[in-house]
Amino acid sequence: MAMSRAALQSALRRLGRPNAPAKRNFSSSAHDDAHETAKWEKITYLGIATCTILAFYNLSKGHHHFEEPPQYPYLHIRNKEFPWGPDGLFEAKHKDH
Amino acid sequence: MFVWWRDVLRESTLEGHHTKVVQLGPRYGSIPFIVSEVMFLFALFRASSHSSLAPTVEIGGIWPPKGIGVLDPREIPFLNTPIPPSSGAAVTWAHHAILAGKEKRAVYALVATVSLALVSTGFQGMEYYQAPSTISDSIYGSTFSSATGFHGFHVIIGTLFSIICGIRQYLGHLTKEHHVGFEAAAWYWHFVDVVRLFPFVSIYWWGGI
Repeated sequence: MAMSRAALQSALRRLGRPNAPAKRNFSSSAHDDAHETAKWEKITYLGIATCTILAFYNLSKGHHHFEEPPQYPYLHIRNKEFPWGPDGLFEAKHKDH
Repeated sequence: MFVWWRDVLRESTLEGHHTKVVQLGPRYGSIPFIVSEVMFLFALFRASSHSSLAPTVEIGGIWPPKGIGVLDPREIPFLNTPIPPSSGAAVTWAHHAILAGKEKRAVYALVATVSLALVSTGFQGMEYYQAPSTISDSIYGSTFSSATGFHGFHVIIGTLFSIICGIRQYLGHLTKEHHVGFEAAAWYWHFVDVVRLFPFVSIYWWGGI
């Protein structure tokens, strides 16, 4: 009787203990996280280097200007009375740019 | 909104109410939220495809409509396409750093994530400034601006989300076992950076040449 009570108590204690080690749900990484951190750090640097080179190349080329198109009815639509007038707030760009 | 999320952070981080079971709520909630966002953006890309695949006579029967100047897809649009995925790589770096317990590296990674996001938004602004057409120029302008504009808006939301995670990581809120807010931000950020490829291919590239 005493033995079965001890067994019951130990079983209850085991039930109450959280399962260790804690399992991470939604996790797919079976690899070493430190290794993965270093890998993704390198990938990020590679991405930054690529974007920087592309940005310098792009910005050094400059951009071409477009001619004003003919006044087709579907272009430059103005059918709302905005408080700032018929043109958009940033519309002046075509004139001074 | 601010007060609501402040309360959630207090309940989860300081009061410890977010047990494993409670954490499932925001996790499962994030999935339909992101799926609905994907559907929203795809509806906008679909609007562009719908208008461009059979251009009406009112716009000259061609796409891009007659008289519309389009951006060269090889310039800023192409430059702005690898920036969000690079930022996505940085958020993955942050995730592994959190799991590895490298708290400082995780903060650096989130700084990189946010910086790349801000650069991307900057180039998007520059592109709009230089663009030959506006939202009021035909169906091309409407579909182009709503699709790219809403994508840009999502980039801004994701940036704010990552900034909050960066601050929380700096303050030591995120642990190896408990970082649901960060995971939601990372999922959202991957959605935003992958979705960028679609307007690039269908609107800038295919729709602009």
